[in-house]
Amino acid sequence: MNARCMGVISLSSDLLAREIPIMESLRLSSCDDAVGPWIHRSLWAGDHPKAEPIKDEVREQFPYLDQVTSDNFRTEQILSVRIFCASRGGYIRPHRDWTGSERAFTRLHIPLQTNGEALNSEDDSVYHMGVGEVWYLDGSRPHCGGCFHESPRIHLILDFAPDIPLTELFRDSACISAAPQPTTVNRDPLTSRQLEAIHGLAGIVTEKNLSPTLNLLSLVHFDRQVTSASAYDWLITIAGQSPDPALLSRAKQLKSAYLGPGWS
Amino acid sequence: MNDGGVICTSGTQLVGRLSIDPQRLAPEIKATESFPMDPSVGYGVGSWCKCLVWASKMGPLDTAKSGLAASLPMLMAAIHETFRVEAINHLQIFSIKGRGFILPHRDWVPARPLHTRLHIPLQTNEQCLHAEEASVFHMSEGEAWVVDASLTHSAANFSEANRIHVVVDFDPEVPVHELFRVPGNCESAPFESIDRPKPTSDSLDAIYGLAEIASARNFQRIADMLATVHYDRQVNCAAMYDWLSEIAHRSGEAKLVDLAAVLQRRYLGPFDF
Repeated sequence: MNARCMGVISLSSDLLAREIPIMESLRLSSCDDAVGPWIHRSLWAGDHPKAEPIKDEVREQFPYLDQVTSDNFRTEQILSVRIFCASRGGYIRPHRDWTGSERAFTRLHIPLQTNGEALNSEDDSVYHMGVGEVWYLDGSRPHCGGCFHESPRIHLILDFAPDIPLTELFRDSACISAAPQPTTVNRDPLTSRQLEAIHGLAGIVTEKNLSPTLNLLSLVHFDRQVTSASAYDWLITIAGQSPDPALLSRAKQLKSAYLGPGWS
Repeated sequence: MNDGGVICTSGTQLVGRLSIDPQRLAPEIKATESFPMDPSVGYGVGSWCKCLVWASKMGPLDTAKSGLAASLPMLMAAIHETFRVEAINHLQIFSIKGRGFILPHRDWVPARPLHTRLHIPLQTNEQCLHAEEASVFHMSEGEAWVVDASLTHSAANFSEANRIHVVVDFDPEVPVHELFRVPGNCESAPFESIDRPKPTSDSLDAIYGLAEIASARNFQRIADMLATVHYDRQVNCAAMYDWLSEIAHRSGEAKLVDLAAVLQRRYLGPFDF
């Protein structure tokens, strides 16, 4: 797994406690690739190297998040700062953030509030990020994240210019303490009966439920030791058994849209 | 209210039409895109969302000069011309901006109807479908449909285009024909359900086979997927809750059995109100 915890920054639970209820009450934006409650809000935006805090009433309610950002990170390299909230089964479909060999950005996740059912994945690894941990995510690999608990998982997400070494994203090395042992989730292998049940969805798949079928298949890897990208291959196999040729074409389009052309 | 003290709702039917020019209404449909929509998480899937435009507690509808109703002057005028607005409890916009649907549910029980609910499609297409028990049908633009929300029903947009309905909730004690300013404008047309093939044994095997992969993490997504099956197969839209229960039992997971019961109660009742 290329995603890794780079260390832990110090967060004030008292100051966070003032801002988290505001985050939870905000009407946030949904995301086209998300399923269920997976919502976000931009706090910093603009074209590098001019990204800056968005001057609106929403961001001004989060002075502590501003402080966390500016105290710990080289803000002159920031492309965007966002908060992402997920709860009650909200997740983002397995995807890659870019398909070429050149990295589009460097993304760091910092959980502000989380729970044991807040999970991320990369390829066939599933892991949990703890509060205050700073995680680098490799957007070139198939990855996914969600929260399967009633309580919202809230992450601060910073995107940096892609050409800056990871160690230089921090204002100084004193900002971050040693990384803890990562919390990975062990799952049982997918059995042949389970694979048969997945392929058996050909018995009900139609143009109307292809997308909800993908939404279901995208979650299997959180319970079973398979890569998140398997969801698209299963969907193609299922659609290929349908008498409607348009379904197979649509399933292939979905795989290409989320993982990039030629991904195997 | 009838002699027995039980208010009876009429069945779902086409009851009239709203006289609106779709082209002239286009700017108002556009205006709804900026309304603060509630995604009704847990009920709506994909882009299904709704927005309260007006409620009787806001004051008379015909003097609604502010708020969201004020940005829909032509629609409000048409509603005012067609219906007895003094009998309206709420007026909402239900929107599905490209693919989305709402899970089969009941809004109230027959003995205690909260409203008489009219759906009037403002923007739709033939891939926008409504289901009531075992029937599936399409409502066309400008048609006014009484929807019996005490029966299990659902709605979906299987196209990439937007589907926008104005939903008008009336006092349930007012007979349907008296909701019209001119009662003679109320018609009563039964709808014809779209034919679908019956589920095959392969379909049911596929559904029950989900017990193999069902978990607490994906159970809602299983529900979402099953919530579309009745649009393709001749089954009652409420059947998905029986399927969920069977899947949960076959999985052997007590937590899933509880979850199935919670979902059925949430969507079909009994309700506390």
